[in-house]
Amino acid sequence: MRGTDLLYMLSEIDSDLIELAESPSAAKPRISYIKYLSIAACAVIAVSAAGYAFIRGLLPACGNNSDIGPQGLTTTASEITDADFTEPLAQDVLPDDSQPINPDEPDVGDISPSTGGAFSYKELTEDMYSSGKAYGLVRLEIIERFTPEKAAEITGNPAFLEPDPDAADTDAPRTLLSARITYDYLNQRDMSMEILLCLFPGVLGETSADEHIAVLSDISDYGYYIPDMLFDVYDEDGVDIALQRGSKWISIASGLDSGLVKGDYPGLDLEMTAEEASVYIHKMTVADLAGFIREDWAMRGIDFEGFDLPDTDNSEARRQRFAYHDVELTEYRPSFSAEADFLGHYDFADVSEELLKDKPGLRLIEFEVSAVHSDDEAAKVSGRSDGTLYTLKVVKDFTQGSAQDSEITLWNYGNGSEQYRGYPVWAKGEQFIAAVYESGNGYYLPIYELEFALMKSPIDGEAYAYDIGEGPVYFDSLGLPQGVAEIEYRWQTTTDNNDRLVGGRFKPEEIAKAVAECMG
Amino acid sequence: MTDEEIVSLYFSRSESAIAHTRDKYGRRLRAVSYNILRDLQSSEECENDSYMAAWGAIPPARPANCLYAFLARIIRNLSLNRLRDAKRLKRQSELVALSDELEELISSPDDTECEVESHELAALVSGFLRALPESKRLIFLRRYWYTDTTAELSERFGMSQSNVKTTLCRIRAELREYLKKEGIEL
Repeated sequence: MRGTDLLYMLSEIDSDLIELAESPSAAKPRISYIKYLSIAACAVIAVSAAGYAFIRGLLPACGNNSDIGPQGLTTTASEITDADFTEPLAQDVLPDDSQPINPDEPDVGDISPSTGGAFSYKELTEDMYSSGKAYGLVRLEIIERFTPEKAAEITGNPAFLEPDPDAADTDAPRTLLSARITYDYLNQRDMSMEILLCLFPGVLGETSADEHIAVLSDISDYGYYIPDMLFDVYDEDGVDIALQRGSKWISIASGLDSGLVKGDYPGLDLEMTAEEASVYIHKMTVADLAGFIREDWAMRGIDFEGFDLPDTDNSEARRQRFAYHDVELTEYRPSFSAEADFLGHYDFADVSEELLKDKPGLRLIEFEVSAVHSDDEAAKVSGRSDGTLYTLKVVKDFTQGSAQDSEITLWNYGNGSEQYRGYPVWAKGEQFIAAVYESGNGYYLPIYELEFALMKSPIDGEAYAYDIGEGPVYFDSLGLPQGVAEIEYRWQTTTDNNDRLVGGRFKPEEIAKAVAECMG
Repeated sequence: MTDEEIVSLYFSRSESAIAHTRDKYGRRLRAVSYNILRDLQSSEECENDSYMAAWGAIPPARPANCLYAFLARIIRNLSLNRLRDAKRLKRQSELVALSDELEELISSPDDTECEVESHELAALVSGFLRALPESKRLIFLRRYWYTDTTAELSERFGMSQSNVKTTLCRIRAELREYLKKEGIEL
């Protein structure tokens, strides 16, 4: 029996069901783009202001001041978002059995000001929509807490030496820690990756937990992460328990009250002692927490399966410290075959100003890989051991006019031993369209979000540009950011065990024109 | 004219039955076919073939209370046949995608015949769908009966495409479990 047989068998479904679905009453009307953006902008500004001010200590830690306290501001943001900001979350097709989970929830006004991150859960999910950033939910263990001097040396940021200027209630500086990510909850995989974490005064101050669960997104320019949410993890009778700190944060349970999706986790909260409640505002099993977030994000259409920790090449100090031991290597087995499976949907990538700024000699070119240089040569030229140097035959230059048959040298991540972030080496003869810029050292670098492999579709035999970027912001038909686009094609690269999933396909001329226009 | 009166015309072998059927249901039937084929001419041809098939099936069939659904099933199957035999790759890829999704309900897909009767399976699926929240039920039916694309479902139900896919994925998983509990292992 095949799926096609089932398709035919479904013809026999009851008549009334067929008629019922013929013209289902219109779904929720989608608000206009402009209105959405206006509402979203207000909400994001409000919650961002609240989050920023609070984490910096500009707002009182306790919720006693009902006008300007964190709770108050959050409520304001929530009211704004009630105007339909959460409407696209399709609540009518999702379980909505949310109830006040813990009526005896501790009074947040009496709780320690520790926060741990800039977001409540609700704010976090809203930010995902507005930013389209990739988020991860990881478990990590603290390796080392650095002295302020060492933190400044490692990161190059003198702010670690001074009391945080915005933290009115403490003269402590921020703290830098090294941590090892041990598990990726969203992709359900073990990991062993060292990172740097920056925590603001008060966070983790009195905890004895060695392990934490954090929501991470972008890395800072200094090479460290600031957690967007942070939980302490303890073992309790053999069960991993996550404890959430904070006063300003809306707990997950409160977030559910304000309209978020509860899913199938009625037991999210566990009982908490009064002593714990003075430090933490919520307690749940790690399994429930991770399961809840994973399901909730999946139901919202947030694509996290391709999540990986963002690039860290902006921190030379960090590279020196970890010497790329955080790179999970896969066996190198050359075996090139290009293929693409049609699944029928694609979006155009966003080319933001952020992506293009400070890129000298920026060009969008179509090229063919004419030579792949040795690892030794790449290391000698670039001073780095985690990439490959290529000679490219430029076939077309979409931004600087025709430049046929010129050659350039380009360095890109990935070689036989360092398939960093899944970037394996390109093969001679492969063709691409990519935005590249001058490194200042005699070779070009690609903009990773703007790389497109030129391949023939097995469906219609036409050549398309397949997006092999690492998660640029995509927009749906209304121009709303949707996170990374649906995976459509699998790109088998030079390795047969480290293939790449590509995010969309485009007519080469169309995407080149669109990108080139954005590049000015 | 009521369905019962139209069906009576079929029974009396009056060719006006087809004209009345076309008047009453032609547009809706073409819509079903067009949704599958995305080709106006082909859907019109399927519509005509459907009337001929109905002419052959009534009598003995007497769909007096559900004439539209009766005809819709016919045109759906005819349209699927035509799509399967066509060489229009892009639209055919939708059929492949649909089949692949439904194949998740089958434990070991192969080319052997199904041991479950169509009507038995359809009855179980109908029961399952009735127990679903209406929105989920509609999404499932629009996808697997009317063959809407995920992009169309996204527009129709005001959801992101990812959300549509996730919802469909969950419904399929639930349906598979449901059938298993009912003793049906596809």
